[in-house]
Amino acid sequence: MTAGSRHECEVPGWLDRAFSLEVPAAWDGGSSLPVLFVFHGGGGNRQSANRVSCPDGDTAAPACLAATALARGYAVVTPDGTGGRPLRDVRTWNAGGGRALQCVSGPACKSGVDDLRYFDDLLAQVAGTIPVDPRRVYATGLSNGGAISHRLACQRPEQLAAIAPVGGANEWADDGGACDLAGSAVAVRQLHGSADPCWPYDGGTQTCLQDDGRPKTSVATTMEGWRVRNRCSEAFTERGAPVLVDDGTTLVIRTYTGCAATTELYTLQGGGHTWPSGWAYFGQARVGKVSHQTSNAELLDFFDAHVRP
Amino acid sequence: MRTSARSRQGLRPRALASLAVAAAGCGSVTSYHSAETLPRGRWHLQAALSAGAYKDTPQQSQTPSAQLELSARVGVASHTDLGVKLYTLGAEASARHRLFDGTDAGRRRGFAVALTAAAGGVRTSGQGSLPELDLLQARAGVFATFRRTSCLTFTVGAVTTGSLLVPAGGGHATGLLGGGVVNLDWQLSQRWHLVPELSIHRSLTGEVPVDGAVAQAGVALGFDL
Repeated sequence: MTAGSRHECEVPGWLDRAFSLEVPAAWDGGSSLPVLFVFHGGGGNRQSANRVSCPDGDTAAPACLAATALARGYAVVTPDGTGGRPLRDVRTWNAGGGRALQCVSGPACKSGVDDLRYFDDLLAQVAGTIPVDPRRVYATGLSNGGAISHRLACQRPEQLAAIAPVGGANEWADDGGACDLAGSAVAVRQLHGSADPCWPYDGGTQTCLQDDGRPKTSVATTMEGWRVRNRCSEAFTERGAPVLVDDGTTLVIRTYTGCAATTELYTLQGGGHTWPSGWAYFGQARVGKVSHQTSNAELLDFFDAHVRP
Repeated sequence: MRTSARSRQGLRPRALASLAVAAAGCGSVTSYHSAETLPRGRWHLQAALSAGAYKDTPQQSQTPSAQLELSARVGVASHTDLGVKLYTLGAEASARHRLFDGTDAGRRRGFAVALTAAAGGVRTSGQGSLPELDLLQARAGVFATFRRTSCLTFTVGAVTTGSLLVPAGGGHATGLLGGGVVNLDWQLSQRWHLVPELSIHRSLTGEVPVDGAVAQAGVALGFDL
């Protein structure tokens, strides 16, 4: 691959599970690269994964997540989840649930797609294409994309340095899925709107898309789980961040102390089921407000600060 | 546990319309014809509108669909006609051969049996809400038509539809549907026909277009040239 290029690649053995791979323009062609996996939300696809992170959905904006990451020297991978039938480009991830909690987000979970094996094959395909820095592999995504990031951190902690799920909690572990880090630790920054209508901050059955009648897990339950797994104390610091934009939202940052890996919660007070400083993709009436109190640049600062030993 | 009012709203009309278009890359399962083939040289034009649903059992999903189709048929031999159909995002060519004709000379009562075969598909570009894929379909069926009056026939058919999905994202998938069709052909005037139809199909194997069932209901308006 040449510097600054973008390629659409298949994952052999998987039906219609391609991924986009972009490499930074400043890459020398030989150095190992940090890799950011960006997982689309439920019903989305790899084209939409980055778009929700862009101001007003403008994928040409330098403030988009992919552009920000590429400018920092990251390779960006946006894979496709399992297509629906017959709506083949309405895609989901098997991010857990289906017992006491909702099966998120629908078809991939309900049909039991082995997305852990898919991630293994995807990572192998990426590593066979570009030199990957194994200490700097990161995952993020909105909603179902955030939830699959949690699941991968649970089941592949040795491969992920940090995750930053947005508007998606750890349905996998909170519904009894295996999440034993076996002495490892994964840095976690959970970002979630307090007024999220699709994945309610306090959990529950309110939802925007598929609905099997079960509730989603809460942010509090998810964070308590990570606090324990990352061996944090029960103490935490909490501060209100400076208001960057007068948009009716604020940011409260909770940071757990004594952790083996950073464990923090960004609560976007008044924010909806949206990417911070991103796009209200279904309109504010449906998905809530976009909060501008943090940015993709700040997200990349978080990833920059966490390298596996 | 009860769900919120937001989730009980279900899909809004715009979303439904989008889904209908998006599902339009799913091939065709409709017929809107009888076992009475066209006489040599006779043309028949038809427009039809169908609505229905696709149900996928493993994914536990049900998706509404809608389809518009335009077709033309011409008799090429005493018992055989050929047709071409354009439907939402797809196209199909077909042949129909009448095996048995027990219709009286005045075409007031009777019974006919025909074999049908069709092949076609869909190619979508990946633009907008459409995936980038090719869908190839082949269909075979046997139809029996009961003529009740000079203006009314009742047809039942058994149909098998095979599909091959080749997406741009890699791999391929197949599916075989087995199903049945019932329709009425009500001749409104010397040249105009109204054909309501119901078809129901189940997956016999594979996952294309779904691993489950398909139901379509609609009506066609036809014109004899």
